[in-house]
Amino acid sequence: MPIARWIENIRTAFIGGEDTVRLAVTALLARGHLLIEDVPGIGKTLLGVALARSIDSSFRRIQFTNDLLPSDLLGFTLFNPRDNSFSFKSGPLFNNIILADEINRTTPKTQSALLEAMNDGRVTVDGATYPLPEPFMIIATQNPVEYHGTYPLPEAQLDRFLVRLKIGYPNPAQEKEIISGGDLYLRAGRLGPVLTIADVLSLQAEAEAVRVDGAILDYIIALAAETRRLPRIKLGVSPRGALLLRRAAQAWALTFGRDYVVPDDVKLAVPVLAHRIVIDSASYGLLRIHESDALVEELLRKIAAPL
Amino acid sequence: MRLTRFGFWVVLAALFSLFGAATSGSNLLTLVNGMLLAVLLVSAFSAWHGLGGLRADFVFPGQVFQATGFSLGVAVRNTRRRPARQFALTDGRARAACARLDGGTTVELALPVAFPLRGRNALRGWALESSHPFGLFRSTIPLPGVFGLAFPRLDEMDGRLPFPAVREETVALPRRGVGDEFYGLRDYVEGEDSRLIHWKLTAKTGTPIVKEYAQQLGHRITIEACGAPGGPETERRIAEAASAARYHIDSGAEVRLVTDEGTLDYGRGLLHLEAILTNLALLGEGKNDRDPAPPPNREPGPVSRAAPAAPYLCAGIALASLLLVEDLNPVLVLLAAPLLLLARIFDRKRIHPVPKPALDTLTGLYLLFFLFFDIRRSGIQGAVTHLVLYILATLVLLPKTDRQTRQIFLTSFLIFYIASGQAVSLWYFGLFLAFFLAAGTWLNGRLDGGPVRKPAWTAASAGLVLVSFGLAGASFIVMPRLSSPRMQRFLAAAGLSRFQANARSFSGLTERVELGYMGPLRKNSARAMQVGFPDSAVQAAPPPFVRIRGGAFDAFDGKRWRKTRSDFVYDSGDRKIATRHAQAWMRRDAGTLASPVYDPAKPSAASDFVIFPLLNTALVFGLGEISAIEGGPSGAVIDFTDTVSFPSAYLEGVRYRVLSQAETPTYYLRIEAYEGILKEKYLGIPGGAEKYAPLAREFAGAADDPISRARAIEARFRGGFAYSLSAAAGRQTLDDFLFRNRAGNCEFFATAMCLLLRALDIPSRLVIGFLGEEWNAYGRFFDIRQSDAHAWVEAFIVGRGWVTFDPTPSLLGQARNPGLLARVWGSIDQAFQALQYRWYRDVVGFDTDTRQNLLYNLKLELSPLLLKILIGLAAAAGTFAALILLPRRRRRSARRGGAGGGGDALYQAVLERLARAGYLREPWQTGIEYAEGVRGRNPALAPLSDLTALHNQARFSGRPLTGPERADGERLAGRIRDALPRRRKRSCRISKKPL
Repeated sequence: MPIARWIENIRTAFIGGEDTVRLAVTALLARGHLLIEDVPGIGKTLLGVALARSIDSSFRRIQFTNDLLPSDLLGFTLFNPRDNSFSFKSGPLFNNIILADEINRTTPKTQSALLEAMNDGRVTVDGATYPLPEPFMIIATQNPVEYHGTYPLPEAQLDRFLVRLKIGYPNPAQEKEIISGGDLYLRAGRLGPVLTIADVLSLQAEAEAVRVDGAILDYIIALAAETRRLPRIKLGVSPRGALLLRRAAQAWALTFGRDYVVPDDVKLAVPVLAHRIVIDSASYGLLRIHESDALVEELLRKIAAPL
Repeated sequence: MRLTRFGFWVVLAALFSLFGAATSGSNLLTLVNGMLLAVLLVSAFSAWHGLGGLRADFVFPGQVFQATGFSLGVAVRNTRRRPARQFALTDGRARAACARLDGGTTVELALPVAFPLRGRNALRGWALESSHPFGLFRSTIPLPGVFGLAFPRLDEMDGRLPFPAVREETVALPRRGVGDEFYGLRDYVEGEDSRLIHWKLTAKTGTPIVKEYAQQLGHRITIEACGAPGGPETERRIAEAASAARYHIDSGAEVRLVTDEGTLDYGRGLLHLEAILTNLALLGEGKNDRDPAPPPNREPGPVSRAAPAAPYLCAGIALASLLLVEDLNPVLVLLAAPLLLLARIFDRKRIHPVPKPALDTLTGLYLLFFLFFDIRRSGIQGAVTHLVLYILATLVLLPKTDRQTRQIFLTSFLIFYIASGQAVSLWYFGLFLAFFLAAGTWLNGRLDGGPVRKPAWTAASAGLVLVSFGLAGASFIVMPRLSSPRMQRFLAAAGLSRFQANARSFSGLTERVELGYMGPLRKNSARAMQVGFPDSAVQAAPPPFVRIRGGAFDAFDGKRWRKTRSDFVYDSGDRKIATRHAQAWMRRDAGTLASPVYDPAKPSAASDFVIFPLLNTALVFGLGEISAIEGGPSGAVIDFTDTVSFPSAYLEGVRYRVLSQAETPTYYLRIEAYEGILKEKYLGIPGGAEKYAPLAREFAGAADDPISRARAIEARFRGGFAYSLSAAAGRQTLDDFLFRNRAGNCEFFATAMCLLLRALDIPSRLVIGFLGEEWNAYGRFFDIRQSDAHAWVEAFIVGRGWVTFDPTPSLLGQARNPGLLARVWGSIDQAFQALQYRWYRDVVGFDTDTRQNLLYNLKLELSPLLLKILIGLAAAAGTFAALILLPRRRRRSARRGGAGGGGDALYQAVLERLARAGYLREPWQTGIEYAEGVRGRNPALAPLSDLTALHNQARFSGRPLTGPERADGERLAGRIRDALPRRRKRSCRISKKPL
């Protein structure tokens, strides 16, 4: 099965939980974008690289800094004095998989330049719209601990990420493997592709076709509705959030080889919904992330699952 | 669990009604008392049982600062299957309420909290409490005391360094940055800002190179929080240190904390800030668990708001019940009703038309009126009723707080109570149900002190009310009654017996038979006498009814029956007895009073009479002829109408045995020249015979001998006339009865038949007495109540003597030539009458003897009727429960069902088996999570995972299972069943532990 092979391939370089890898794969299958948010040194970038290298696709890594400009990402129109014409020089965004490292270090201006690309899969420069290649996926990482000199992502931007992933510390066995082996980063860079772009596109279409029962839709709606009702949540999940949860559940089901969604697939709600809610809390940083995760988990324990 | 203030009032009301019921003997007060006891019992049980399954855990937010308010959550989990209702989290001041928590689910309740102290703060006095269902008892689960950590207070700082405790140093740091110092070279990475490229080096090397610089300077801050060992000065310093730490961490500096208790080395970032704050919080006294002095208890002041409708409804019902009290002027009640309506409207519009001083003045005046005028005029009972009505009126006009609303309710109860003590009508029962339903709805919907919400009628609430009514019924049956004759005498002497007070308007035996005098009659269920039989053969097979003869009258003046006096002589064989003052003494013979016809040698039927001190009469009652009396007063007299009386009225009751040797009195056999007197006395018709003769002939029809004519007339009355106790029938004249209404009470029937017989020259007289049908199987006697009083006719037939005729149709007899509508109405009327009859007999007149009989009947023979009633009640309850529960069950099954295919039923069956074996599924658990939980507890049940996967496929994939897959499912289910213990009885232990 191609997906299983894909996951295995990633795991030769990225040593960590299978679910983490599966989630990353799910994000790609559901035509979504991935936000990896965790403390430094835990393999955020490694996971992004490994995911991209496993596909026979173009990959670009962009280090976001506070002086990065939109045109640095999207490209710009160049005047050619030789034939007095303008030609479009595409930016690094015109690749299949983009690793946006430390996305919160860049200014809101540059961050918002990503909005159209993430939502519609195209960019507009100087009034001309250019389609981005398919599949298109942004893997963004950010460090929630050190926030001095950063620009936290606005809600609109966060809402565009399908999945917010926490990698977490590896268990002792994994950690031993990490420090005893060779340079994992090198290994990731050398990973051979196991899927072609065409494979990925057909898998994405397959994910879209996974059957979702009416009871499951009701379940998703009940979850979304509850986030809007809970007093400790200032802002609940948008309809887009509910829609993305459905898509994530479909892709997640596909990674298990199922062509139908079961209620357990919807329990994916923590990585899919937690970053979409605004909680009423005085805490900040990593604590705030934990708190919103806990809230969504609590939510899952409130809504009766269909049987 | 303790009584609430409101509960205290209800207990008081229960005691009060118990006292009232005991002293007045009123069964309706007993009913009210039973209801109050039932409500108390149900509330106490619910309160005791209700909160048992709740578990609570504090949910602290991540960071809490000293003296800064936050909302502290408590996650409350219901570990039972049944939902918990209407409980609240309280810290002694504020409350957070939850209306309903389903079994197995969790809710988070939060209250605002502020920790006044730095460091560890104790949280005490938190509890879950509930006064569900009726707010009478409050049960409390105290939460264990916990400690919360409060960081020191943070103040905003501007860039200056005002604190001497903060030292700053600047160091060069080997970090990349934008300073001047050279840090290193590296390759340009595509996508980076091209301005970073160091073009000189790039030109040299041929590849793009970036030159990096070290960060210019690093700030290193040392914060010292040492010094004075306590007091406000230290607290101020700690707060300053915390603020400084936050400021410098925020500005990116490395911060070190130096305290008396150690040093926290340089660090940066939010995690470091948290470490610093924790250190500061726990510094010195902060390490000790401190119990902050609670802030002053702020009791919320009374809030004026529109009262809910239910207390008004209760007041309305109570007022309606006053209409059942006959001695009260209904105008008062009718005046109060629009006042209630007006008050409700004013209430909604927040208008208060009567200023308080005016009301106070009015109240003073009313009290004077009450003390010096009303009590004298209306008697204490009436005056108190007026007073309570006045209180209600003032209450509804005042602005409402919760307290006033409660007072309105309690006043309504008082009014209802007064009405209960005086009313006897069947309508009372409807009002009783309505009153307690309205009260229950209101109380159940009212969270004590919480917001007034719309009452939510659920199956559980309906169940509680049903249980309360059931308990009230049981209490009504079980409650002891003071109904012995001696006790009744005592009560009568104390002036407390309601029967004496209201005797005039009740039906019952009187020696004054006057047509059109009664007006409306009310059934009086007071027991008049008990008639038993010493003969065990008769006891075993009692007659269906007994006709108890009291007295007779011979002369009718068109309105009223009288006795004419005449003297005569009895010839009792060995001696002659002459009458004196028209009365002849019975012969006294060794404890036996013998009549002139008594022959000890002949067999006689004996009957025992116990007469209660209710009848104000001297009549001797007997079944048939009173041939001899044993064991009564020492003398008795007979008069010409064959009425036997004791010499004086037996106001204190009496007990005697009657020996009877004939069905009707045969004293006339001992009177010489009886025929002459007979014709003179028993044939008089006021206004002459002509008026009645045609009707008499018509009624008698073709019959020619006197006895058949009399029977024909009796049959005409029974068939063509209707029995009625209505007011119109009570006030009519005899002619109205005979020629127009053709409906009336027994006196009309008996009088009319008498006159018709006399018009046909058949001597006849009117007899009063009782007609008893109520056989008490336990005590083996006939229960005779005042309402059993009756009048009938005796006619003298030559050759047969006095013969008894009863022209009154039985209660359920047919009305004459009915149309369809009349027939329908008639049957409704009859059903109502029958219901009323039972109400008077079984509820209003319930007492110790009736209870014994009831229990006796229940125990030994479940009579077919009772069985039918019980089955009917059970069916009604079942239907009711089904109506309430079915939609929910259907919804639930609709959720479950769907395109399940074959595997679904199998899976559901397995789930049910597992649930019975103690493996409960939480509602939020999916099938797979549940299966994993089950496997964790019992690895032998692992096949459930595979079965769940199959079920999921069948349920969610939209494809039914194939044959082999279904077989697979059967096999898995079989393995699960084998792994489960054999099915035990219902008492199998169900583990309450969730998975």
